[in-house]
Amino acid sequence: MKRINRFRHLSRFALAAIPAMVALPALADSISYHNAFERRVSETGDRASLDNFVVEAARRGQYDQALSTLEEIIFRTPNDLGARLALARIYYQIADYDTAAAHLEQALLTPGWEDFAKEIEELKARVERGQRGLEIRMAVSAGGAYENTTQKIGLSGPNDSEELTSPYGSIEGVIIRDLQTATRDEIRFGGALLYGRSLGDPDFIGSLSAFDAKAGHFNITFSKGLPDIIDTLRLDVGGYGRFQTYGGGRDLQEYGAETVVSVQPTVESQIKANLGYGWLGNSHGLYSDRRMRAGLTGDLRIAPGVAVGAHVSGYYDWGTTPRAFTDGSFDFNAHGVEVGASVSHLLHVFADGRSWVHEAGVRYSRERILDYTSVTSLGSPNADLADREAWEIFWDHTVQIATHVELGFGVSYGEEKLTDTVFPSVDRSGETWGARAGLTYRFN
Amino acid sequence: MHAATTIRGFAIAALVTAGAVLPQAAQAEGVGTLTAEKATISRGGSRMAAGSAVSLGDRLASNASGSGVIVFEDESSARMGPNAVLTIDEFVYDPARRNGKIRLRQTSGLARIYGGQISKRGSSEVRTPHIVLGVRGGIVDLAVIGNQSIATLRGGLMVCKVGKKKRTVTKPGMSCISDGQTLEIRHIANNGRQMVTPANQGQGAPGGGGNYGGAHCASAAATAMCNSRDGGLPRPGTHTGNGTDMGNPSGGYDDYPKR
Repeated sequence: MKRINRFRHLSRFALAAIPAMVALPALADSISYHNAFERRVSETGDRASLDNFVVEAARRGQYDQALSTLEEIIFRTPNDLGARLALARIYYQIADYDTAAAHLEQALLTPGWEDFAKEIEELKARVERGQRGLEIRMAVSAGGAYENTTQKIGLSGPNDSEELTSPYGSIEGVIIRDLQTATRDEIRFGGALLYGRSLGDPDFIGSLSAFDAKAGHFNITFSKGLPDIIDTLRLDVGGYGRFQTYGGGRDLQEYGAETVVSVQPTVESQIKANLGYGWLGNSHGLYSDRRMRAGLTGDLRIAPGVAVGAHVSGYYDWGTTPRAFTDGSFDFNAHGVEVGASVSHLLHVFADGRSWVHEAGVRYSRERILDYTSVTSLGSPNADLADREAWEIFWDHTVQIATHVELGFGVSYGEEKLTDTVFPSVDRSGETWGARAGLTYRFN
Repeated sequence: MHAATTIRGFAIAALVTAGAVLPQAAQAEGVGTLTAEKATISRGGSRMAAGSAVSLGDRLASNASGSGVIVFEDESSARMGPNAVLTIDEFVYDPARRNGKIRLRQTSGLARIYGGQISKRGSSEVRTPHIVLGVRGGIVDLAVIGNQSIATLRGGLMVCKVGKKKRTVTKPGMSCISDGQTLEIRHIANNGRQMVTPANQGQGAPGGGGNYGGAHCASAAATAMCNSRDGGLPRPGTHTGNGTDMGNPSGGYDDYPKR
């Protein structure tokens, strides 16, 4: 218990330190950007001042300022391939494929272009896909994870502690078809497959065991801009399918429909609301038939390279068990709500432009779930529901070690409590330490 | 009574004097700088040199071979192309709040307008004889030729208004075309190439040049987080909510990467 309290204090300290960790570099960035702009204007035509402001503006995401300054550099020195390619890249980032293509054409007419042939070719292929209205992204990840879980039965019962070191892998991708409309309407096909091993209590017998955690999802989404209502309003509607194994013969198979409404109140912020309804009839051992999900997510960029986000999400299940509840009914409702927040920070940019981003966050959930032991155990007279409460903190890092390769690593700590159970189930609590490291290759 | 009338008289005289003087003072106030010029950009018939201050109310004109870059105090800028005539009708900027109002008028020629801090928070507007454009966190090409104006979105978001007609464009490359009566939205192939500075083939120092590795999103290593759409800034954003794992009967949060 002492150990748990110590972790609580540490996590509170870590969360309190995050604002200071973010505020100081943000203030320094702001001063440096302001100075760079002053020099860019007062030292007319000075190349070092122009270059410096391009770097500062692009780092802060002020693409319009970076582009106008790069245009001035090209205006003065039309054969500068470094500036020409930076222009093409940023026009590509803002999806102005025509202008990016025009600059790449000029790059190929510039003496010395052969030194940049590979990069020009790669960017040209992406720009041409953009002009055709096709964007494809795919990523493959593999690595190893460590998990240490301790579970305590009842108030003074025995501890069950298990460690697990296992490999994980995932593949995910999305194909975006731009419908070439003024409001940037598009159709997205996405999917992912994941494999790992996890520790849990899949049999609800109070003892931990490792199981294969396989998961996957696919979706098709139509996304429509509705800017004549609110200029950044978007409506996404689509269908999805997902599966996940939970061990102990239980698995989820869900098919449903979801809608997402998003808006950017300012250029630095975004709000999303989602509502989904799914059918779980083909699942095994879950007893839930239908599920409704809803959520609200907000994201705000508070300083250059620093974003904070928060979410609240919930679900509501309708299900039927083979064993009756105390009121004689076989039907039940399970439900839960989760709140969370995180801060993401562009920690470092290497000399060649590679990035190191880290994200720290916390989440807390509270659920009323089916007590599976009460349904499956011969010793249980009735089906019953139980309360589950959980929280977790995490700290993840993504270091770009090559243009297409990322090293991801992170740590997490969480606690979980199951209460309001009835015999033969017992109340229990647990804590889990996790760490993982792996490589991701991005094909984009 | 007499004293009160006198004071009121002084007050009215002061207000009248201030009303007459203040607009002139405001007009004399510099709102930007012409940071680059190629033969020729002129103001009131006189050629301007790079480094010249640009003031509220200035009417700048380029000739058929002329081009130049104006940078305003809010970091917005205008790249003037051939035959452009641009007037700064209004410019109010509060650097502390990074907000204000900018209104330009383009009566002929080609120009590219880059939004600055005002366009991200306040009101940024460009008028031509045929169309009124609102720009949000973005870049717009404007061509005023003959009896029509063509506004092409290059990045961010623009609102095109013609009379009571209003259309919002969020897809870069799409143009609003208007003769002052009609408003048409479509993609025009190869539009805007006139604003791309051509390579000086066989001249000047070859290759190399600027190195922008210090800025991830301007470098060859740029990742998908650098994408910026609808005038929104590029990320990093957070992945909050992506790892939600409620409804999991085995309990706990999974460690394999969902984030």
